[in-house]
Amino acid sequence: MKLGTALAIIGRQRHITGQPFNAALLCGFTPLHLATFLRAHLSERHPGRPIVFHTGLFDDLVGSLLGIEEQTLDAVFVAVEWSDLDPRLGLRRLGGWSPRSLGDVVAGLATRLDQIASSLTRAGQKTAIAVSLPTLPLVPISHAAGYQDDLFALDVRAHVAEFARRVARSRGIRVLGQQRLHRLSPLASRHDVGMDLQAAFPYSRTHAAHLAELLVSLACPPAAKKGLITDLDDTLWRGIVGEVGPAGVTWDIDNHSQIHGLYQQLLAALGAAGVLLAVASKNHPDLVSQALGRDDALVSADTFFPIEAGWGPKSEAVARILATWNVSADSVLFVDDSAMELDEVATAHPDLECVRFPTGDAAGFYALMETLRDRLGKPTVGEEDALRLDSIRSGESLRRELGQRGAPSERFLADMQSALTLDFTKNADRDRPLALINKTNQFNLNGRRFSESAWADYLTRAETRTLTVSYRDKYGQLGIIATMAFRVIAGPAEAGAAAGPSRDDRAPGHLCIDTWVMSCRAFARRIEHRCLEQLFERFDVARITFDYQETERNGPLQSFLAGLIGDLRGRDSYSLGRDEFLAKLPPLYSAVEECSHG
Amino acid sequence: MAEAPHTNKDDTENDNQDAGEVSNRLIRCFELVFPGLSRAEIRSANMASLARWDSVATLNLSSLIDEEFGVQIDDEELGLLISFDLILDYLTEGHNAS
Repeated sequence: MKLGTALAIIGRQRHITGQPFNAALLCGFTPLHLATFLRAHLSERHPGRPIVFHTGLFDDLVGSLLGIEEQTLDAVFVAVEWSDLDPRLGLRRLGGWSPRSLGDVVAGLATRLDQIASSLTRAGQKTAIAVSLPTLPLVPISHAAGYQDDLFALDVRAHVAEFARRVARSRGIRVLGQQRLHRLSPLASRHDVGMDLQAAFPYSRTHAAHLAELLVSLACPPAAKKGLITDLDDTLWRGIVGEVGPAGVTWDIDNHSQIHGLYQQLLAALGAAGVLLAVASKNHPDLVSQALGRDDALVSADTFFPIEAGWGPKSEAVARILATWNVSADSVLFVDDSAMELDEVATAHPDLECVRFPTGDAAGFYALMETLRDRLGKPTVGEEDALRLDSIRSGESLRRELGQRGAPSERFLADMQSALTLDFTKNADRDRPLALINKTNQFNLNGRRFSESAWADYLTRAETRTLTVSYRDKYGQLGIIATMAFRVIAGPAEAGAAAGPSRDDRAPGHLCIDTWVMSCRAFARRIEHRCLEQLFERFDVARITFDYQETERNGPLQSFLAGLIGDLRGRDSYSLGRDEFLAKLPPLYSAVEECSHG
Repeated sequence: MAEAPHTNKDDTENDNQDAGEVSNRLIRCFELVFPGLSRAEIRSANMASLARWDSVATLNLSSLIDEEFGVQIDDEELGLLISFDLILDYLTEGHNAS
């Protein structure tokens, strides 16, 4: 991005009036172009929100970090540079570069990093912080020639590396990937010495632009894709299995097909991290089964579900896979070596990201691996990631039942041995509820997303409560599948909130649901009904109001809510009385347990 | 009788066209740094009359001029370029704006 482009983006933002996105850049140098590029990238990432941008104190990174502890910010960017660690490592101070001073520089730097780490760790409890470690070349302070890394340089880098390891383990702190920055912004073109001396801004414009782009991706990562559908011939392996047979396809160095082995290795790793994987291949199912079942395969056949092998159009196979996963096309990647197949699938599923497997192009394949990691990457892997594929596989019984009848039979539901675990603990330290809120589209009360700081703020309010729901049945665990955030309010619901006068308005209070999401893996089990029943019962409220907003994709939530309170169109408010709910409540078979973390 | 100085009409027209083009590109730079100013206000802008024209705005202008014209203004000269007209003169007289 050029500076002119960034300023034009910021200029167009001037008249936007929405919920502000509050961000801060903390650095010891003049923020200048880095702040401009950050604002521009944030504006592109959050187009409907005015970006309110704060900057810290000049030449006082630790002081700036202390200053944000009391603020509510949606994102914080911290750009550490050598001069923040010791002024002698910058060009603007003349503290002396004698060999005797080097030990003092290293000792002071260690203390300084410790101070910064402590301040970051405290600030990170409340706000997502994206940190860049020193990106500029070390100034020629040491007696060694530039082509040698002497003990001074190695010591300095070791302290910075240890600092990075320490802060990366802290909640809310993400450290910028050096490798990606090196590629985008070569070391030799990062330092603008003239601007450093003239204006205390040390970065070249191109370096500032790349750094800002990566920092914004780090603080506000795009939603990760949930699944990958892969072709087989000349993609998962080299060769056409229908021609050379299951034993004839290869994925190793000896057969000049190592990139296919690397692809298998990557898919196995993605599957283990909770990415859904499926196969869409024009092949005979028996041949596919034999080839995938080979002992030397690097990814096991049961990593893929479903496996669509047949002779119909791939777009139809993809449609069946999406239906089985119950995810939308824009959450999925399709990888195939054939441009024709990619076009056919892309035409039928325009929201699906179609990626060509570059058979025979090693460098292109390396780039593909990085693309897949970027699209499917997640900062941490949790328990739910390990459960996801199993739960979809086990949910096949329910889908078959739904396919036959349109809705599961009472007997089927009664035989599922389902159990909900309800957790009413308010805990901002748990990642899964917020992650679920921020990635769920279909059963989502209003589509509202929360930054980590906004979620922490919501939870600190005395009147707010949360409910996190885990589910299991005889087919296996689904893990945490629903999150609700609500307030219990004394007194009846506000006038006008109710559909009409009701005797149950005489009850002592009502409950307002601000946020409610449920994973699509948990549909058709009446979990949503059980959740509402439990709220009415446990909080003894006469009425529940919903902060409902129609979104492009919350159709399942709309259907559920309309089934309880009637047509959603043209209403100012959405509420449900206890009697009204109980009259419409279908039989519920799930057991209910409560869990508390104290 | 002394002859009238020789002028090449085509060269003069080309110079005027070039100056107009440079002026328009410089106005676009000013519009980015000072959004909301009219073209007339930009043409008469100077540091004394435009409160928003501070040191940060000067650095932004300098960087945009580098991006737009490929001209790097050194520190000393930058301190002297305190109006739109002076910057335009700087770009059109002797600093080959590309």
